[in-house]
Amino acid sequence: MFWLSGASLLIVMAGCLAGVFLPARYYDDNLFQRVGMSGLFMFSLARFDQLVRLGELTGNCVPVSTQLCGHVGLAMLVLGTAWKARADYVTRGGISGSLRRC
Amino acid sequence: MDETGEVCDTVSAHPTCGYTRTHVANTSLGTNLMPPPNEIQVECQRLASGIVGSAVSLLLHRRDRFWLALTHLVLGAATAYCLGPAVAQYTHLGVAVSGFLAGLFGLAVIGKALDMLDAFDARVAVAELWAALLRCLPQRKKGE
Repeated sequence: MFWLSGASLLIVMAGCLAGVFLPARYYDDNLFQRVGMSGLFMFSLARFDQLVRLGELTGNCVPVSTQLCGHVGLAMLVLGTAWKARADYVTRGGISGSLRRC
Repeated sequence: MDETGEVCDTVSAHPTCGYTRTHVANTSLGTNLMPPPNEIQVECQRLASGIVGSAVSLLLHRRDRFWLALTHLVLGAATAYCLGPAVAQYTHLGVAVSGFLAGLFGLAVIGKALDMLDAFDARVAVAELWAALLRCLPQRKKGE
């Protein structure tokens, strides 16, 4: 469990770092996604810190404020992604345009 | 903080979660075995870590002009200095790590916001808004 949890957190942190700092020609994020990934990275780092210190997490005992940081980050990431998907959908010409490209 | 959400009163780490009231100064990422630093040292640590975080962020998001880069660096350091304690409070990480993270991500977010402002064309936005408003209004048929 320790390794699985640690590896998952590291993957999340690496993804967030890549999303925030990759140049726009590779991954063009929007402001909401960037704020969300920042919050998620901080939450994951705090969780990883706790995991390393204790070795094994037996309960959901991250402080509420840290969980809030993670939850808000996730919500903003989802909102930003939804906005981006909507913009992409409109650019492709609605549902008919999207279906034509399938 | 234990599983019920109550803050632990003990000075040593809680057996289950390891968090205490003085957690921010005692986490593994902010471990401080020496006597607690005074206020000026903490402020300097916060500012320095913010500057380092901003510099790293600036290296990753390159700016063409020197003055623009310098402005971003100062902005990032100021953001880290102001938001560092809030980040420490929310994530329960050490002061230096929180300042670094605030500088790193603060500058990235500010850079994105400035890029968006740069790309924002008020005339186009007003024209699109006006067109959308006209589409919402009921259309009058010719001859009425």
